Formats: sequence, structure tokens, C-alpha cells
Amino acid sequence: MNSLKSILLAEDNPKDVELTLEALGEHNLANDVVVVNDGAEALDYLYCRGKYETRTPGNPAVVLLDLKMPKVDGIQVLKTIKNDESLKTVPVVVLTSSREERDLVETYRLGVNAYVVKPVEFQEFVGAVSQLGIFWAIVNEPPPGTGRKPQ
Amino acid sequence: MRLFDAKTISTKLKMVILSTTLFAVVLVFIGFFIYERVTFRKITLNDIETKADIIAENINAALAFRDSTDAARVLSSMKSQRRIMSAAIYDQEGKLFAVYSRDGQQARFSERPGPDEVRYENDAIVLFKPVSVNGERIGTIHMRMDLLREKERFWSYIQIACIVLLGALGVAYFVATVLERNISLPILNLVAVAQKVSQQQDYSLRAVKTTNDETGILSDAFNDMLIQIQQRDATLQESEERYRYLFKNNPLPMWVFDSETLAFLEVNDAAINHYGYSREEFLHMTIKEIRPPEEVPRLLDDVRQHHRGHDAGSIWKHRKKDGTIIDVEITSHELLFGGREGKLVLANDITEKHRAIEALQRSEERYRTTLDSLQEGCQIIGFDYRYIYLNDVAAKQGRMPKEKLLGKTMMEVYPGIEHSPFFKDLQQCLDQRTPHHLENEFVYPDGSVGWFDLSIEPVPEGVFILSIDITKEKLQEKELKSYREHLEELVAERTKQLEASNKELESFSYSVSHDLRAPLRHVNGFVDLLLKHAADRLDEKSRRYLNTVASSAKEMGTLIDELLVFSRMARVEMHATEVDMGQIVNELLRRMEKDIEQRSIKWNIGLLPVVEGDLSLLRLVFQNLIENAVKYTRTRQQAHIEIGSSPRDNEVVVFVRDNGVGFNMEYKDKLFGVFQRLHSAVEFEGTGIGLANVRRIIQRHGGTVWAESEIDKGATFYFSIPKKKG
Repeated sequence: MNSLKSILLAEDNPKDVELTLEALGEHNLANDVVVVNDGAEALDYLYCRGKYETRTPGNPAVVLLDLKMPKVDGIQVLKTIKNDESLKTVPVVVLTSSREERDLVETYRLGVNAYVVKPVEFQEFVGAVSQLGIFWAIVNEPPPGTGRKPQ
Repeated sequence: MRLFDAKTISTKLKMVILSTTLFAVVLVFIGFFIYERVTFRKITLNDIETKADIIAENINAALAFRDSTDAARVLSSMKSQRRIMSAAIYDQEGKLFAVYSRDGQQARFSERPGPDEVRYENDAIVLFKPVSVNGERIGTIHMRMDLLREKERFWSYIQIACIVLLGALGVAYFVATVLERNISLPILNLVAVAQKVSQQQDYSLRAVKTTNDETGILSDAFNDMLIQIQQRDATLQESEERYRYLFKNNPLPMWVFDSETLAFLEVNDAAINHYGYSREEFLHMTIKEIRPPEEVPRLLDDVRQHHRGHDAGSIWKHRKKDGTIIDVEITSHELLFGGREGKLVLANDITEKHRAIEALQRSEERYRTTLDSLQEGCQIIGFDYRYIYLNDVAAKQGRMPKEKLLGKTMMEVYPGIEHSPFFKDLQQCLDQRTPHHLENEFVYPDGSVGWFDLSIEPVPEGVFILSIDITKEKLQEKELKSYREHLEELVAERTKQLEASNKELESFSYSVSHDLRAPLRHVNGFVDLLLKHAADRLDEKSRRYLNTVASSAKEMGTLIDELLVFSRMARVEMHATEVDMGQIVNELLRRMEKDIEQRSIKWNIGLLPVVEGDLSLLRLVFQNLIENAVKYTRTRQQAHIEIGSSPRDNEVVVFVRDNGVGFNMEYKDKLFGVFQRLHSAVEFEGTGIGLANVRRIIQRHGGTVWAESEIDKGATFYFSIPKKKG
């Protein structure tokens, strides 16, 4: 289905969601973003269960994953994705406030595709997020089975 | 008898014989002469009286008749009598009546007759005799008769005597000469031998015995005497030899000195060898000269006081020829030496002995003082368990005054001590003379307990005990032991606490990292959005406010980031590898090239060693220091930055020196504090975390950091880091 949204944003903080969407919106990518507010919801989405039971199947082009989230945290979500045969090809970009080394080490160990620290400076933030969106949603050729919106 | 002096015995003998002969002959002649004279005088007297009587007979008549012619005729009949020199007749009245004179010449007659007598007058006999008739005196007859005949006889006698005497003496001399030879010859022989003996001191000569009389006995006695003298002489010589040998070869220095002059009279070989003076030198010296000057008054004193008798064992200081002072023990005794009053001295050099004794005394004193002042307790216990010696510390340890311990047995002072294990060791040490070492728990009479480290050593008097009070240590040890038993628990607990707090800290910094930055980002983001959305509605002032909000938020973000880095420095695990500091600097400079291309900086990079450390952390150190140097030299037309190192003990000191603005040394303590800044943000941007990081990293590497500077004269930052091992 070409109409499927191709970016999954897992972020518990609505302000960050807003800012992220704003940044993506700068490049008209906002409409392709599915926002989930915690890890559990993200997994629900990916496994099409819970409130996403009825959604159109297919994997997102990229998962923008915050690490510090209620219920199931980002690391857990990453681990689940990368351990699942059907999901492990989905690119996961950690988008987080933290520069903590242990997070870096852990996520790369689990097979994260990119690790981006959200800059405090908004313009930098916009730059970073929009680049991410452009790269993963447009430039990068996703693996087969990824839902894609027609250009 | 001067006559016999200095005459030979033969002369004497002759003299005796001749004088005896002379004496005998003279005596005989004198006797004969006297007899002759007495006899002659008697005859002469008879003769003259007879003549007078005859005359008187014849003259009676003449007188009676007073016929003087007849009288003269009678008188002249005397002419035949040649010896009658004169004659006279006095009448009754005493008047000269008739005279006769032999030579016809008028003889002198006295006017009156002398008394009736016969008397000798000069060389004549004078006679006055009465002429009596019938008993009546009628006159006096006087006659004078000369003695010439007598004289003649006497002289002829003398002549005969002399001739006889000479003959007798001649015979006597001959006889004496013959006889004397028999007697004097053996004596002369004896004399010759005696003279020879005395001249040659040869007592082996013997007199030859020629007779059996007294001279022969004398010869025998003389020979016997010589034999005895010879034996005695031999014995004496042998004995003298022996004593001379004893003196000369005595191993101890000996000498004889004159008691008056103190001059050496004789010295033996040992003295010569020992004192270094030759025999001749000695004999020209006095005993004062073998003494150091300060001893001389004492010597003179001593000589005065001990002038007589025997002196033994006094100690003196003597000086050898080479100046060495020695201690000698002197034994001396009075003696007569070559007729002089002297002293025989025997000198025993006891310098070594003396020194040894002195050293021993000093050493003993030293040991005693050492023992007394030792911080450990020292005691010497006798074989009867009596305290012989204690120092103050030992008394203090025993909690008894020294006086109550000394001389008492241990059992008296501490009843029951004989049952303690310590006592067993003590007994063993006393019996078997083996050293023991033990820690002893000592129970005081009051029940309290002390611990002592005891070393028991056998000594000649008994045992020596060195005691160290270890009560405190024992208590600490006990405490420590109980601690140790609980240590593992404690450590586990602490570790748990530490882990928890570490975790807490970690999650804190984690939250800070996540949660503290988010609001800032939001502030920043929304301000930005606001600026965009309300751009046309905002005046310049509002826009500036919003920009300030945004930059403050951004600044805070930076601070948080750096704080997080700083906190991570403390927690992050160190990955120690070999780090080439020179390479770090080169890389950093390469990376900075772009940023500083506008600047004129003269770099002076010295040799930097390879150390063991965490590469990324050390890189951060250099990055901070170099960036600082670059930053604070910004105002300089020409910046100089020097980086170098020097070894110091087991470390390397690295420095980064610049010619920048420097800082006030008053604030050097603040330099390495977190968020401490010495410059305003307007002058030089920065958060004040860089040097805090440097310090933390260097501290974690076991080094230190410091800085030196003067305002406007540049600054030098140093850090030390341990040298690479091996």
C-alpha cells in the first residue's frame, strides 16, 4: 500500500513530538510520521496488535526511537526489533537527549542503524531531524516489505 | 821503731842480730869498765892513805919540834912517788907548815886545811888527814895525787873494746847473713806469689812449700786461701753472670738510676728496644726525660717520698723516643750500684692492658647507661631468681619501685609467678643456657593484665630479660581481630552501599542527561518557533528577549553537557594502554590547524614520552591545555606555545607554557575547580570545566597538576604522570 506512513516516531514527550514533527514538517515529511508515546505502543504498532490491530500491515521505513520512555524503554524496543526476523531489517535510529556512552555502546551492540543526539539549539535540531527524515524516508532504499508512500 | 820501717825482712833480721850482738858486747864492756874503775879507785885510795900514814909517822917528830926543814925533807921523799902531785903539812893551828910539789913549781895550797876526808877533785884525789900523837892532833896532812894512770887505763880499755866490738859485729853479720837466708827466702817466695796474685788477679797460682816450719804452714794456709778464693770467685762470677743475664735479657724493660742525680746508670735490652733510645743515649739521660712534662712534678714528689725501700705497682706515664705515651706499672727497689745509691726499676708496659681495661670500663658504663636509658625493660635475674639489675622501664612495667625488687626473689615479689609459663622458660634458660623468646600475659597482683614481649638470654650472672610492653598492641590486635572477622561483612555491605550509590549517581546523571536537557531543548525550540510564527508581531526588544532566552538555554545545555562529561570522568572505566603523548599532541595540532590558521602562533614542541594511561582521557587533557593556551594568547600579536617534559623521580612532568594573559597566582587554587573561572565570559569564553577535567583525569592516572603564572606574562601548566613501568 503506497499510502502507508513510513516513519514511526516513538517519543513520550509531546513537546519533543511537536518539535520533531515541526522539524520534519519543514521538509514535508510530517504526514508520514506515526507517533507512539511509549515502547509498548511502538511494539504494538510494529506487531499490529492492540489499537494497531487493524492497521495496514507493513514495516515503517525507519523507526525514530527515543530511549527513555515509560513502560517499555527504547533499548527494549530495539532489542525486540533486532531479534525478530520479520523486523530486524527495519532501520532504527535512536533519537535521544542523552550522550551517555553506555547507551551508545548498548544500542550499537544491539544493531542500531544510527544514533543521533538531539541538539539543544532548535535550528540544529531541525537540521538533524530533517536530514534523518530525508535520508531514511527518501534517499535510503528500504528493505523489501517496507510500506512506502508513492512520490 | 822507725828503724824497721820500709826495710826488707832480711835487713830486719840482720839488724836484729847485729844490734843484739852490739848491745851484748857494749854491755859486757861497760860492766868490765865499771868494775875496773871501782877496783882502781879502791887501790888508789888505799895507796894514798897508806902513804899519808907513812908520812904522818915520819913527820911526828918534825911537828912536835917544829922543824919545818925536816918536815920538808920527809915530804920530799915523795919524789919517788910520781903520782903524788903535791903534799902539805898544816900545824896544830892549821897554819901551813911544810909543802911539797912534784914538779918543783909552787903549787897552790889553801891557807887552811879542808875537812878531814878523801875526795875526788877534777883529775885528782885530794886527802886531808889528821896527824895524831897519842891521840892528840898535832897537825893535818894534805896530799893530792893525780889520776892520770887511771885515764890511760880507761882509754886503752876503750880501744880494746872497740876492736872486740868490731870483730864481734863482723862475725855476727856473717852469721846473720847465713841464717837470715834460711828464714826469709820462703817468705819472699810467698810474697812474690801474693804480689803476682794481687796484680794478675790470678787465683790459680800457688806458693811452693820449701820448709816444714811456720813458713811452710803459712804457704799451705795461703794456698788453701787461694783455693777458697778461687772457688768463691768462680761462684761469685757465675752468680753475677746469672744476675747480669737476668737483667740484660729480662723481657721487661729494666734500668738502674742514681737516686741523687736521677741519671740512668744501666739499662737492659728490653728497655732499649721498648723506649727506642740507644744504650748510650740512655746513659746520658735522667729518668725525667722518659716522662711527659706534666708527670715530672709527680715524679720528683715520689722520689722524695719513696726515697727508701721498695715500691711496687705504681702506674706512670712514660714517653718513648718517638713521643708515644705509654702507661707503665713500675716496680722498684733500692740498691747500691757501683758504690752509688740507686734504684732498680722494672717497667711493665700496661698501655694495652690499661686501654683494654679502660675500654672495658667505658663499654660497661656505656652498656649500663644504654640499658638504663633503653625504652625497653631490662632486668638481670640471678640463678637464685633474685633481681640483680633493673632499669626504670622494667620497674615501671612491673609496677614496683626498683628498691622493692632489687635483691628480692621473683617469688617474693610476685607470689605465684613460679606457676606461669614464663617462669618455665626462665628456668629453662637458667638451666640449659638457651635463649627464649615469648609473648607473656602477665597478671598483676591486683588482677589486671599486661602483655609483654620477652627475650630471655643467658648471661654469666643468670639471665637477661628484655621486655617490651605490648599491652596496647595486644588490645589493638584483639580489636583488629574482631574487626577482621567482621571485615568481609563490612566490605560486602560497603560495596553494596557503594554500588547502590554509584548506581544512583549513574541514574542521576542519566536522568540529567535525558531529562534536564529536554526542557532546554524545548525552551529553545519553542522560542525559535515563536520567533518564526510571530515574527511580524514582535518588536525588536521582544525579539532580543527571546534570543536571550534561547542563548541562555543553549548555554545551560552546554553546562549540563560538560558537567556530565566531568562526572563521567570520575566514573568511566580507564582503559590503560601505552600512550604516546607526542603523537596525541601532533594529532591535536593537526586537527586544530583550521581553527587557528588566522593566528600567528610559534609552536615549540619538545620530546614527550610514552606513558601508560587511557588514550581518550589523556587526549582530553592535552586538548584542554592546548586549547587554553591558544585561547589565552589570543590577544598576543605573536603567540608562543611550548610543550615539553622532564623526568622527575618515578614520574614525568609535562608542561604547556604560553605567553598569554596569565593569571593571578592568588587564585591558583581555584584554577582547577569546577566552573571556576578567572576571566569573564566576555573576555574569554568558557565554562570553567576544562581544567577540572584535566585535574580529575591526571589524578586518576596517579599524577598531580599545578600551574605557575604572572598576570600578563603567560602561564605554565604542569602535570605529572608515572613513568611507564619496565
